[in-house]
Amino acid sequence: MLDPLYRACGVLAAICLTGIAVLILAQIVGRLFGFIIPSADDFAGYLMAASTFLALAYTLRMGGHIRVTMVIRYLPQSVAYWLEAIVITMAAFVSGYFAWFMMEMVWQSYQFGEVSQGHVPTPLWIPQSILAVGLVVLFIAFLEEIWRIISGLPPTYNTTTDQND
Amino acid sequence: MDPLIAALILIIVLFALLATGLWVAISLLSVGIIGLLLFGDASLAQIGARLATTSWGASASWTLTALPLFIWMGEILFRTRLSEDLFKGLSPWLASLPGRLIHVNVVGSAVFAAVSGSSAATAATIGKMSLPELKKRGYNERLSVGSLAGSATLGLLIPPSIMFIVYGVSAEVSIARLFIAGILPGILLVILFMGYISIWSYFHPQEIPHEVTKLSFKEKLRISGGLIPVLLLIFGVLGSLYIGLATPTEAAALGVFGALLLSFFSGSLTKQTFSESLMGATRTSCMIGFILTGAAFLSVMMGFTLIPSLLAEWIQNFGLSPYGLIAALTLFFIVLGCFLDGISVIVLTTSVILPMVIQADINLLWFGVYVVIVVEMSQITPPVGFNLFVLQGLTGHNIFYLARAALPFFLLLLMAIFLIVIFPEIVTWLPQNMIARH
Repeated sequence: MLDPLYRACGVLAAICLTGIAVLILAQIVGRLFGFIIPSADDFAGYLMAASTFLALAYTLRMGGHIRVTMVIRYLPQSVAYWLEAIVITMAAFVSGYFAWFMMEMVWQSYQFGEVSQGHVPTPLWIPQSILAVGLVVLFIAFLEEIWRIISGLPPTYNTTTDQND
Repeated sequence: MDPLIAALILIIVLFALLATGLWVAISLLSVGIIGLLLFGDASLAQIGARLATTSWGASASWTLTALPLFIWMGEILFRTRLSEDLFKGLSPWLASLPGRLIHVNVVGSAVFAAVSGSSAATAATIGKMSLPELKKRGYNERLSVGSLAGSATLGLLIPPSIMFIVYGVSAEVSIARLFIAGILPGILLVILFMGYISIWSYFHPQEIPHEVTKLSFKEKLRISGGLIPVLLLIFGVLGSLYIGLATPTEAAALGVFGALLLSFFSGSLTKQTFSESLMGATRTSCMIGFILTGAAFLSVMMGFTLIPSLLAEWIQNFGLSPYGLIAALTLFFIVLGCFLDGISVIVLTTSVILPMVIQADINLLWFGVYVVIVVEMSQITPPVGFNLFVLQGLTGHNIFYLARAALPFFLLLLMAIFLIVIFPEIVTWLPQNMIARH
């Protein structure tokens, strides 16, 4: 239902990833021609964090986060249903908790005016808030899964098997 | 509370959570929170603040940026004609060895491993061309499937390697040195695998069909011409690392650029393959990045409870020699690897076992290579072995048939561990002679 939201965050994450590649390549070219890109390493790190966290819900939806399905697969269906429900609820709790305190960190960075140490002093709340957004969206995705399991719909994250190892 | 009991409780909680099917990253985060609540004397608010700062520090990392870039590079090349080119280009050279085209599995995997950091991707890329071809020509199926399962694990050891990045970032060991350290053990494994295939084929000649086509040297070269771009890419990426021209991140960015060029000139770069490769890389690096965040937080908790150092002391009381410790750890990792994926094994190792290793005075660079070889073994052990899953998809055989086919290669990996224990120079010699750029 909220797929466009997850998808949009996934696309933003992919843009961040491309941004890392472009930034690093620009840095290499710059070294050859004698110009430097200020704080490029810092910005690459921010893009890395942004890409990871923005993609959280999208990756969940695509079955990309690994989990051990060995036990759940061999359980009788009714037991598996309850276990799945418990797992999703726990995941929702943890991601909600995580999202809440990430927002609090952003708020504190903003209030205390924390900036990065590099050439370009960046207010840290800006890159940090992207992480909070990603976590909130992940929390929403887990809430949607809870809603699905209550209404008797199958979870959406099992459709693809993961082979990313 | 007795720290050993605390450790035991946390380990049981972790494995219980993992077994329920809770996502690995979230399991690690949960154990971190539970551990700090029980043994860290902290409130939920303090723990939350700690969680936020730890994950910001762990994820906004320049060193880590090599990870998505190398994953992307592999994803791009996976979508080119590389698997055909490798099969066609390598066959003429290997057809005269005992075992003939089976060797394509080994050499092809080694070459693809040098542009990709994943063993499942290696199995899929090489297997989609070689397995049907070998079957059609009448090769022994168990050997062809088993050799692919085994050699594809080289994806983890031969640089660029996702596992080395994960280990390097969480154990704070130079990724460039780890990459270079993986080269000789990788070649050692290639030799072991090819040796085994040759010997087996010598004793079972009826299982290996004749290859009739005889080509002149010139014709062989012409056929293999398709491999030149990928070889250039390998030497560009690894060479620039070795002579200190580029950091791993820069080498990865150049690798992405090179892979895009290669894909463009071979005509496989379309809007669709580009966006598929990019989204695939985004998902994989998100999955790994999230696990690394969980692992970083788990390490913070472990540091608070002092469990790793107490565990190290406890182990020391047994008076094990470093060899004894490695033997015990190997056994432990093999069992763990049957149930857990490689990345989880590595992050658990770095957050719990590393102090033990440091106390035993084992070189962390060497240990990284050792752990990656152990993780390679875990890729081909049932019931959870990612290469077996890929091959199941490709061949339709069940996991246990595949594991049986891969067993000789599992034992060869064990032999490689034995060899690097006796001759640690296999690991340390190349990195000692490189110029690292920081």
